[in-house]
Amino acid sequence: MKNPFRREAPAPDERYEALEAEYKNYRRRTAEELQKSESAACRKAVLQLLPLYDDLETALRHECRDEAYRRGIEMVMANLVKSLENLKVRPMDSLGKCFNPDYHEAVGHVEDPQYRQEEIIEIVRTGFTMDDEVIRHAKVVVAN
Amino acid sequence: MSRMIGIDLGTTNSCMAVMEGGEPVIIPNAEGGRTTPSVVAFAKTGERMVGQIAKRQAVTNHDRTISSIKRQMGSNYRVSIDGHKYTPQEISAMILQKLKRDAEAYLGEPVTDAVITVPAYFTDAQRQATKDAGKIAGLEVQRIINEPTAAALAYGVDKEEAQKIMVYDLGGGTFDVSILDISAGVIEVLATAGNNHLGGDDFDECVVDYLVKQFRAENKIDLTRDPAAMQRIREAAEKAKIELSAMTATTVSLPYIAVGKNGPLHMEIPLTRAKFNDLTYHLVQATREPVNQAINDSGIPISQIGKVLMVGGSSRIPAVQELVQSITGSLPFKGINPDECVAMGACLQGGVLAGSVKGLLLLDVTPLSLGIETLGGVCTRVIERNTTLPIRKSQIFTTAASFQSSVDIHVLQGERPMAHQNKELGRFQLTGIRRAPRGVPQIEVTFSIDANGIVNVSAKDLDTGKAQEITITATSNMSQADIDRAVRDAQQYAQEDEQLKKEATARDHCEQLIYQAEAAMKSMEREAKARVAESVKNAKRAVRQKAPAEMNRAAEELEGVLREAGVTIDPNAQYHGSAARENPNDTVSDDAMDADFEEVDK
Repeated sequence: MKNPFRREAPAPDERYEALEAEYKNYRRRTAEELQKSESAACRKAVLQLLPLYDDLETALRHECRDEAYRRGIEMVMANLVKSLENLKVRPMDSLGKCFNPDYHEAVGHVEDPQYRQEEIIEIVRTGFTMDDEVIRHAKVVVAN
Repeated sequence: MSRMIGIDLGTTNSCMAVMEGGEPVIIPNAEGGRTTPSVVAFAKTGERMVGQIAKRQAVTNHDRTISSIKRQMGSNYRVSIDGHKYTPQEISAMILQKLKRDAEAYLGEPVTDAVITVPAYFTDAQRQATKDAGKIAGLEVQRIINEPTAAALAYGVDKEEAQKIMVYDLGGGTFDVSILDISAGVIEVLATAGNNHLGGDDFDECVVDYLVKQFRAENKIDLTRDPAAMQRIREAAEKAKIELSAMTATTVSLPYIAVGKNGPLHMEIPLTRAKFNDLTYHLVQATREPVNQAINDSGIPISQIGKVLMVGGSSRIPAVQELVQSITGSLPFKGINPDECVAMGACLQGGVLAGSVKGLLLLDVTPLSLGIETLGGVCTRVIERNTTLPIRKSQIFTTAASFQSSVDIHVLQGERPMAHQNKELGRFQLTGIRRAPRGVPQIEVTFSIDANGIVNVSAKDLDTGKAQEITITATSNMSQADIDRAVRDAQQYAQEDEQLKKEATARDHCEQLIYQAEAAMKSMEREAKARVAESVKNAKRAVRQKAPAEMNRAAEELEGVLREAGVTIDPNAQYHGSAARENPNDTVSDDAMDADFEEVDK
């Protein structure tokens, strides 16, 4: 016998659905963030120390009459670069390249016909990548 | 299902938040930043850049890089790029578009709705422009709310017991202070004041100047000539400023900053918090006046201000917090990240609108009075300044001349009593009025301002049913400074203006009686007619002399004589302007649209 009463399935509660979707996305995102958190912490630490690289670089640009002393600073710098390399952190080689805001930050601009369009003519602060991702943009002077 | 986000669209930086598990959460942009610079740039290839990347190339491309566009919202300013003229809304829309995209990528769902914040003093034109920007970006802007109100929501002050609070917002480039009244979950903005060009960058500059000066004194070298050195100094100055918020002393250490006669020179300059406070004293003091003005305007005594909420990065500076404490006697509240709390508040409001957060009500206010021009060039106020929104108010006006077939509605904004002293927001005409003696037609003028602060003015001829209206877009912004000046001027010239207004009102009254008398005289007996004629002559003379006291006396006399003669005069007649005669017996309809509304006591 046909059941004269047929109950309709209750309409899905929209808010419950939304909450479920939100929760799924949250889990996915949190898992990703957890994976990335180790490298994020490393990146933070490296960024704190990079100004020391800058100071050493500046020091080496200055004239030093004491050869031995200068050699010592050069060695410190080399060791620092090696330690950074171990963390997959590498300095950018930007001089002469074409300006690209994904990698560089322009802090100066000159008009000079001897250079190409948008050529980087001076590095004010070296840029760095970690695992080929930019962690610090290079501060450069751009021509034209 | 699509999500709604709260957006703080700032002058220098923007920020966005979404409700997650009942709490507002800041959404980082695609680059991982919790705030996004409000900078838009067009590469030489035509490619668009928004945010940090646009900032990075600004120096090489400053003609095609746009920053602080918020200052131009609601104005006729245009940015011309590659033959295309962009409005401020379109530029802001590009920023909003990036935020929307990044939010969708982060959340993994589409984002179609938003609540966007604006400064409390933003005019209707500026609010509409912000709404338009959202629309262009593909966002349904559910609500425009004021920044101080958003901050209050973020701190959850609305959930506490009734109180009055101050919101002190010192951001990257602007300073805003507001007084809010909170009771039973309803937030009302009582007053706002500020300085449009004062922010954290100014503090940095003071430190930079000091460092350069010190170095010059010690080493006789001017570092301003070396851009690379200045770069380092600026960065170090900002870093020192931030450090001094947590420590009482620091040293600016920049090795090999320059080359001297005997070799390399280093900058090693100590900076104490006390010295920093000295250098920036004038900046901190500059915030004092707007704070006092806001407190005065609100009508609330300082002792009644329960809390002060600090918003904006620079509100972290100890000297700033000390100033606030010294003025209000309250310890400033700084529990929530001051760079993020406005976005979080906007997000909470979005939650209410979406039904996911319980009952918060916002009442914002009009910054200046609104009215129309009436006879004699008088500005007849319909909505008072600092009136709570939303509001709808109607008043009946009439024609000033007989057989007038149209009325001009000049919508005015400002505090002065005479129309020409105020700003005209817009004008329109209502035509087709049936021929009738002056004072007979009934024109209902309705001002309505919605919760977003957008003004709509309509005029309806109650006889013919014909109506005309406009939604106001002002032709130019009024900055907070302009608003403050308008209010100050009004107070200063109050006496003068009062005199002018008295004169105008008395003259109208007199003229109206004269008109009625002359009409009545036609059917009078000789004796009565002579008496009336005499009074009319006196009244006309008084009007020529322009003396309000005289005019009032003559009017009274004329009124008396007319009454004796058995003439019924309309005692309330005050003919006004090409529109308008104000009829005080008219019922003023006053229904708030979707909120509990209280008249702000002034």
